[in-house]
Amino acid sequence: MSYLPQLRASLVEAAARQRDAALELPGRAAATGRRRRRSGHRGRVVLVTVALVLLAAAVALAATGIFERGTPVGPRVPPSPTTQDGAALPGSARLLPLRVADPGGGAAWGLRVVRTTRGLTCIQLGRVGFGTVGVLGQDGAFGNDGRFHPLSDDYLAGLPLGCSVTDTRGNAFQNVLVQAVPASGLIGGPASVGGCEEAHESYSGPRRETCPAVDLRDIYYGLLGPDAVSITHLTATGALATTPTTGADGAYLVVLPHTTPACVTIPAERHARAGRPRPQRRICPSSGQQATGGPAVEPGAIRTVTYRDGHTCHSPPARLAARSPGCPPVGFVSPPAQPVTAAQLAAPITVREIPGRVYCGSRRGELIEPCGARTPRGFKRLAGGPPSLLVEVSFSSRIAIPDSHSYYSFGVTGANSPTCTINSGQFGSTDSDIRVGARVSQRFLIPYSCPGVAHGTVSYVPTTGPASSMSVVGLPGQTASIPVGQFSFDVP
Amino acid sequence: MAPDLSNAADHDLLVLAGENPEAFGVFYDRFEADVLAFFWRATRRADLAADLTGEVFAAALESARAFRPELGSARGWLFGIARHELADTWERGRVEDRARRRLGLEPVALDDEALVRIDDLGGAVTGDALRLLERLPEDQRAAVEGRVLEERDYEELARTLSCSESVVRQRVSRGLRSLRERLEQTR
Repeated sequence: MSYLPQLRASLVEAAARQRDAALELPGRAAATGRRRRRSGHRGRVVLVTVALVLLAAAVALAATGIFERGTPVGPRVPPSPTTQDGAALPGSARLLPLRVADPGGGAAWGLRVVRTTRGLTCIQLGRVGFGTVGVLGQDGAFGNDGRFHPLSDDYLAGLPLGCSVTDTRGNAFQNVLVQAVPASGLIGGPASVGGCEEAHESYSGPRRETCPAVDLRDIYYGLLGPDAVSITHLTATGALATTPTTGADGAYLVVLPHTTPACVTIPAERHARAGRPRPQRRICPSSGQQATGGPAVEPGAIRTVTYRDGHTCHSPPARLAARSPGCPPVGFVSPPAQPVTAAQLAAPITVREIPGRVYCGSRRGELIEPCGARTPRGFKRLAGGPPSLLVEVSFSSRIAIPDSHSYYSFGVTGANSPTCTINSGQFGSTDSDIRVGARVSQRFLIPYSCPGVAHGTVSYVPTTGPASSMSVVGLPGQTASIPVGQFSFDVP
Repeated sequence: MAPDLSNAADHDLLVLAGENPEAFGVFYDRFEADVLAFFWRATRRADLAADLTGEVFAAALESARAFRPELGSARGWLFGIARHELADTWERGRVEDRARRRLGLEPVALDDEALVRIDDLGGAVTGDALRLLERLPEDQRAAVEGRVLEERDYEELARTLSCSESVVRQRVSRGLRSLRERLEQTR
C-alpha cells in the first residue's frame, strides 16, 4: 500500500496531461490556438483562478515549510560597541560561499564574516539555512524543536577565538579549531538554550546533557587571506584531500567526526621512593568543548596551505605541534601603528587599597568590589580563592585608544615571600576604547599570603600584526610594549 | 487489456511514462518508500519527508524524457534529484514546490495515520542496521553510507573519499558483509 496515495494519483494524472499535451498535433494545436483566441476572456478568468489556487497552496506550504525559523541565538548581554570585540557593524555580516557537508547529513556547515566597531573581523560558524548560519534545534538545543535558530550578528562572544585584527586591505587572518562541537552547531550559548556536550570532568558537575559521541564534531576553519589558494587536509576516512580556499578571504572549513583524545596508561611504579608502590593507572585527558586559535594555522587535520605564488607551507599533525609551529599568516598588511613614545604616554599612577573580607565581581567581569552579606544586583560572589587584598590602580590616559589595535597592560611583581603563591606577570589589561584624558582603572586581588611591598608597571601594547582579539601580552602580532608608569603598594 | 508493467526495468518505466501514465505510477511505487526514508533520515519529520518526496517525483516526472540510461541507473538519477532537493531545502530554509506547481499538483494532504506510517518507515530504517553501521570502521562506514543510504555512484564516492572506485567497492562490500554478520548475531 502506498504511503501517499494522493500523491501517486496526482502524479499519474499529471503524466496523463503531459502525454496529452505531447500528442497534440500541430494542426490541432493551431485550431486550439484559434479557439483559445476566441475564448480569451474565459481563459484569463481560468488562469487567474488557477493562480489564486496556486498562491494559496504556496502559502500553505510555506507555513509548513522546513525548519520554521526559531528564536535567534544571541549574546547573554548585548555587546558594547566600545568594549571587548565591539558590536557588529550594521550590514557588515556576509555569508561566505562555502558549504561543507556534516558527517551525519542535513544542513551544510558554513561561515559568516562580521566586521565590528572595534576594527575586528569575526567568523561565525554554524549550520546554513535561511541565507545565514545558525543552530539546529537538535542534540538537546532549544528543546529539540527542529527549528533553525540563526546566529544574531552580535553573537561573537560565544564563538571562541573567532575575531582578529583587520588589516589595511580589509583582510583578516584567523584559524580556529573547535573540538567536540555538537552537530546542532551550538557553540557556547546561554545554559537556557540547552544543548549537549561531551562527557568531561567538571568540578561543578555537568551543565548540559551528554552528547552521543556520534553527534560530536571537530571543526577546523579560518581565513587565510587572498594569497592562499588551497589546503590539503584530513578527511573523515583518514585520507588526505585538497580543497580550494574560498574567495578573497581564503576561507576554509573542515568538519570531521570528533576524535576523543587517547587515554594514557601509566605503568605501575615498582620502586616508589616513599610509601607503597603505585599500581598501574589510566589517565584520560579532560575533554569537553575546547577551542584553540590564532593567526597561525592550527596543527592537526590541516596539513598544507598552498599560496598563489606556488609555495606550500606544511602544517604539522597535532602530535608534532609542540616541535613545529603551524603555518604563519601570509599577506597581512599591518594597519599603521599610533606613533607614540614613552614620553607621550607617561602618566602618574595612583594606587588605592580596598580591604574586604568578601568580594563580588560583576557578571561581565569588569569590576570587583567588597560586598557584605548581600550580593549586589548584577554581581556574583567570588569564592574559592585565598584571602586577598583588593588593589585599584588608575591613571589618566594621555592618548586615545580608538579600537582593538592597542591596549594597556598591568603587571605586578609580588613581594618575595616563602608563603606567596603568586608569580610576577600580567594582572589585567584594558579591553575597551579610551578617550584622551579618561581615567583608566584596573582592580585585582593580591593574596594576603604575599605580605610586603609589591611593584607594578603599566604598559601600552600596540597590536599591529595579524593578532587575535585577546588583549594578552605576548601573543603574536603585538609589537613591543611601551612603559606608561610604575607603582607600588604594601600588602599587610 | 492494460500491459503488465511490474516486470519493466526502472528506466523503461520512465520511457513508457510518456505514453502510459500508469508506468510512472509503477516507478513511484518502486521508490516511494526509499525516497521517503531518505528524507525522513535527513529531516526526522514525516511531514517534511512527504513534502520533499512530492517535489522530487514531480521533478522526476517533468524530466523523465531527459533521462539517459547510459549515464547511470534510474535509481541513482532519482536520488541525485533528491539530494539536490535536500541541499536546496537546507539552503533556502523551506521546501520548494516549483515542479509541483508547474505540473499543477495539489499539496500533499497528510492525516495522522500517514504521518505515523512514515515515522515508522524512517524509524525502521534507522533501527538495528544503522546502529551497527556506526560501529563499522570509518572507511567502511563512509563507503556504505554513501552507496547504500545516499545512493551515490561509485565514481562520485571515489572522488569524495579520495580513493579509487575499486577501493570504494571493496569497502562497501566488506562493510555490508560485516553488517550482515553483526545483524545475524543480534537476532
